[in-house]
Amino acid sequence: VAITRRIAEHRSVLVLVFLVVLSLTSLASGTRGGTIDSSIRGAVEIAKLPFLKVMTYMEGGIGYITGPIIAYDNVVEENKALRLEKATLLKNDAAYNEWRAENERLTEIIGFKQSEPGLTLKPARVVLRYQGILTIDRGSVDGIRESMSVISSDGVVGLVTRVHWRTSNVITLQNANCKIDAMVSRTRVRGSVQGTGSDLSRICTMTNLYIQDDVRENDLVVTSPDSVFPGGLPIGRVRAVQRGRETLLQTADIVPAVDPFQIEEVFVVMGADLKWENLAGLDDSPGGPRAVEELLDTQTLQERYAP
Amino acid sequence: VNVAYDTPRGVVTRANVYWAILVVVTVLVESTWLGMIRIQGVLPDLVLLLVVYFGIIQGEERAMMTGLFGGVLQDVAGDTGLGHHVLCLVIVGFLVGQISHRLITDNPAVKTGLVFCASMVHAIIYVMVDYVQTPDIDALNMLAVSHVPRAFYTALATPLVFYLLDRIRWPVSVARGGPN
Repeated sequence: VAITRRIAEHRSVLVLVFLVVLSLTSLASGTRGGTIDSSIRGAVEIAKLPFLKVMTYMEGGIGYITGPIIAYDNVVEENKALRLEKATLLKNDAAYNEWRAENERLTEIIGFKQSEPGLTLKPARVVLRYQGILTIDRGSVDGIRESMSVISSDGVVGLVTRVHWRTSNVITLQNANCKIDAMVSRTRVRGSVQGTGSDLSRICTMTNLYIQDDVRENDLVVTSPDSVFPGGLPIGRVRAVQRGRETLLQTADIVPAVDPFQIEEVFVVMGADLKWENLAGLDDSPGGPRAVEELLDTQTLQERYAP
Repeated sequence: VNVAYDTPRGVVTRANVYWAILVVVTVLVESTWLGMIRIQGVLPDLVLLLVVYFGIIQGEERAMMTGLFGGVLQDVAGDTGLGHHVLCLVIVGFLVGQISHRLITDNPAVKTGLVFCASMVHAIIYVMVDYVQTPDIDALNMLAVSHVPRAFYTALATPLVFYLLDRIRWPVSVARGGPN
C-alpha cells in the first residue's frame, strides 16, 4: 500500500521518466524508416491530404481575389508591355502586307513589261496625287520628256506635262485638260476621251461621236493609233451613252480602266518621245512650246486639223 | 482528464476524444495551413502552445500526454527522428505543469511569458538533441537564428490561441479541480 501510494504521489515524475526514456530509446535506436514509423507517417500523410486540398483551394481563391490588387503595378507594367508589343506587331503586320502588295504589283509589272516587248518602258513610282495630276519619281535625268505617254498594266494613265530634274507631272483622265484620241474597240469608231475635272467623279467622257456611230454600253474604249499612245491600249469601258435631241453628236460616259487614285507604279512609254510640234502638226512658235494641255493629243481631230 | 470521481465514464472518454482530435487537428493545421502566416520563414509552434495550455489548466500529466501525442505527430510531419519533439514537449509539459501550480494569476502577459520560456526550453533541448545526433552543426547559431524568433512568434500568438482554446465547449470541465 505504501509503494502504491508513493507511486501515485510521484506518478507524474514516473510518467515523465518513462516518456523521456522512451523518447531517448527511440532516438537512440534510430527508428526512422521502421515499420511503426512508416505506418504513423503514412497515416499522418493521409490525414493531411484533405487539409492540403482545402489549403490549395483557399490559396487559389485568395490569390484570385487579391492577386490583381497585390500585383497591380505588375499588371499595369505588363499591360503597357503588351500594348507596346501589340503596336509593334500591328506595325510589322502592316509592313508585311505592304511588302506583299508591292511584290504582287511588281510581279504584275514584270509580266506586263515582258508582254510588251515592242515598247520601251521606264517604270516610275507615283509619289503624289493632286487634282488629277500625278507626280512620278522620274525626271529629265531619267530621259523623261513632255508629252510622253504614261501607262500601266491595266491601260492608259495619262500624259507627261511637266518634267523636272527628278520628278514629272502626269495629267490623268481625271483632269479636265486631258484629252486622248480614242476609239471603240468593237466598231473602230473614233472619238476623244477627256476628263471631267472633278476629283469626286472618276467618270470620263468620250466626245465627238456622231449620232449614227455604234457605241453601246460596256464597249471597250482603247487608244487610237493617231494618239501618242501605242494603239489599242485600254482606256476604259462605256457606262452610258448620251444622245442629244438637237445635235448630231452623242457622248459616252467612260469608266477608266486605271484608277489614278489607287495606282502606285506606272510606265512611261519612252518610244513615244515625239516632238510636240510634230504630234500637234503645229509650227514651232517663237514663244516656245505651248502648254502641254494644248498638245495634239489633248485636242480633238477636228480641232487639230481645222484651219 | 482530471475530473471529479463522480463524472460518468462516457463523458470522460468523450473529453479524451475531443482532446485527441484537438491535438491531431493542431498538428495538421501547423503542418499545412500555418505556412500562410509564415514570417521570414518563422512559424509559431501550436503544439507547444497546446502543451502549455493543458499544463496550465490541467497539470503536468495532461501536458505530457499532449506532448507525447503531438510530438509524435510533429516528428512524423516534420520528418525528424521519432522521439525528438516528444522528448522536448514532454519535458516542457512537465515543467509547465509544475510551475503552473504556483501561478496565481490569469494575466495573459504572464501566460505569454510562460509560453516564451517554455518555447526557449523546448528550443534548447531540441538543439541539444540535434547537436548530439549531428555534432558538426552550429548549435548556437541555429538557436539564435531559428528558435529564438520562433519563441517570440509563438509567444505573440499565445493570447489568440489561448482565447480560442478557452472557447471550446468541453464535455466536462477540464480545469484543474473537477467539473464546473
